[in-house]
Amino acid sequence: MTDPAIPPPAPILATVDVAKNFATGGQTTRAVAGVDFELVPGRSAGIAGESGSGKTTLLRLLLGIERPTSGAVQFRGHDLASIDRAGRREYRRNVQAVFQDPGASFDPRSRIWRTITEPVWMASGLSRKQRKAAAADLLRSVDLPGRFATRHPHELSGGERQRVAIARALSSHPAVVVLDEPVTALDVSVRGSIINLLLDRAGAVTYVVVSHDLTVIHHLADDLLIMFKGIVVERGPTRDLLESPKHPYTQLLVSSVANPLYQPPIDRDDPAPIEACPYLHRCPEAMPVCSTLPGPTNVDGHTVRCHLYPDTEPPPVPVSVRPPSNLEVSP
Amino acid sequence: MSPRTRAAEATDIVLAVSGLTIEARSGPKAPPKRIVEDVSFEMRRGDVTAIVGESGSGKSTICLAILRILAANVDIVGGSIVFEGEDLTKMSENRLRAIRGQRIGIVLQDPLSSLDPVRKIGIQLTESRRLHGIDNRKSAQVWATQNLASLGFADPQAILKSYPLMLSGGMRQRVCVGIAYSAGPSLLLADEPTTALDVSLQGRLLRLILEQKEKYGTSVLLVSHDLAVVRNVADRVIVMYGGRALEAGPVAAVLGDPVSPYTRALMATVPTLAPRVRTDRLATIPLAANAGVSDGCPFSGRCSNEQPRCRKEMPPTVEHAPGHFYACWNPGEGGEA
Repeated sequence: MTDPAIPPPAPILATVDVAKNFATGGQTTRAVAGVDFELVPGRSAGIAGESGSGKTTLLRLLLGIERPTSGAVQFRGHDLASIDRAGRREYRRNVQAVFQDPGASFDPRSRIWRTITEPVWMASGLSRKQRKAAAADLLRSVDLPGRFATRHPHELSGGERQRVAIARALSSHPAVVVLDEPVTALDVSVRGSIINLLLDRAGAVTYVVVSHDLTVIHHLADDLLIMFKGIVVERGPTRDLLESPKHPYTQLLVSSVANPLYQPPIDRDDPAPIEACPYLHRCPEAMPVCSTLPGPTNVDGHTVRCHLYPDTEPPPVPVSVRPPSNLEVSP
Repeated sequence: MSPRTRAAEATDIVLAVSGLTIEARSGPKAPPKRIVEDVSFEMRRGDVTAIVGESGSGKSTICLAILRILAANVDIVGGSIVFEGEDLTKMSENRLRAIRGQRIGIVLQDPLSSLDPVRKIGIQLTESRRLHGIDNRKSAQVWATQNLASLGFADPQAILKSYPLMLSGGMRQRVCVGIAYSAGPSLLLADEPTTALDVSLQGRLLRLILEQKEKYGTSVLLVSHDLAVVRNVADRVIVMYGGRALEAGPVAAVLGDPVSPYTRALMATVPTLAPRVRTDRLATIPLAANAGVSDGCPFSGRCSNEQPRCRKEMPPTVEHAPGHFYACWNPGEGGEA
């Protein structure tokens, strides 16, 4: 835990009340709503949730691939929407990504050395010869033979490609690496070695790891955000959150991991009205007040958005509670 | 051993796989590669048997071999698969067609690619019943309407008229389970049925598979890499590596007291929610060049208990405790080396 006497370090990445809606066939889908998130150096964060929870959209917002509908994404305090050219360059160098499917995230026609040195090349303009040498060094840094540099992506296994993706992400010495389901596509026996590789480098970089698998986040992240239908329903230190989950949805997730046959008290999945708590229809604790969206409250060091925990003390970060604009439609 | 008589026990066996060996040909000159070698197991009526292992261990190939839907370059070269008294490996295509979908159902990993995108759910759900002459068009509709509720759908009429892309992944996978069970099969093959689903939907699908199994008295062969699922769902488990069954037995015995060094390595490498120090590394299984079926044990080269003869000779299958088998020359800790 951080000492309250020492001011916390400035966040590298932050979102301020960020929201993202998608227009689908005349209707608006709420992907992310009112998320405040701060990533401070040295404290890796995990984002967990089911499909449609908005975890991937939040990650794409952090990577600048999506522009927010409202709110802001900040890199070292600068809004990405208005950052200058030099600032954007600095952001690109410092925020790198590893995606789920290493087969799909590489150019199939480029040799590995070209793919792997692209971030450094963009930053520093190396010659072809220097790039090839740099590629071999990078490959060795992730325990792969340097001769892989001249191969094409299809000549590598899934685990090897994911090592290459990690080497590429680390090549520009970034402050943040965003990991989108980094081991989901890999075989069980390979997952452990990739997690170890990431753990070994956790001192130099801060991770944002997105996964539907709590066990993976448990190994990689200090803090955990639980998302449900675009809203961060609970946030807190990972270990603490897994041991004493406060939000009924977090409780369901933790129970499901412990027992794959766990039967939730209410098993239905029709969406709740947009102005209500998104978990309303699945929540065993639902009360009349749950037809409104709860604001964040501080409960034992967790930030929880649930009416079970009335606002007794002010939340650590003020969040404006704004009813999101339209209805979530699941096809 | 149960006090049942041998005769009663024999009729209780739904599937008996014995010495199953499967080869894949990669070209006219290249020697065929053994992808499954000498695998034997039996399944009792109503039991859930799980096969666990990494990719390439041959676990899915066994499912495909049971239905005889292997790729054109993959052949069953030895052994038998006796299903309800008939050897599937020697059966004619005509007879197989009567069994596929009716006596044996299958649920695959990806509900996106296992449903036909241009046909309505109602038609796909009832296809087996109509093809196998259980229902005509009208009675199939009645059956589907009644059955959708038990698959967890609130509005059967709307679902029957939907196309697959109008349903979520979890809903599609429930439809697939419905299709697999539609003709009341005696055997259900489930190849990684929950791998593509969220944790919160996984339990629901597994419960559905088990509920329907009870309803029809079906035996389930579950292929999975998820040990937590296997521990909670299966009665027996077969641990496969490089085409060989290295350990098999009751779930509690195999996962609680593993004998094979491979089973122990596999269990140690899985991330869990157990309390840990932030920097704790996970145990890993080292890679070896000679993984795959050869003369010796397929795990030799990666195994921490390796002895010289492991590379030359496959160890025989030994009974460790009643019903709990393993194949290893030097099990070390956990076994009686």
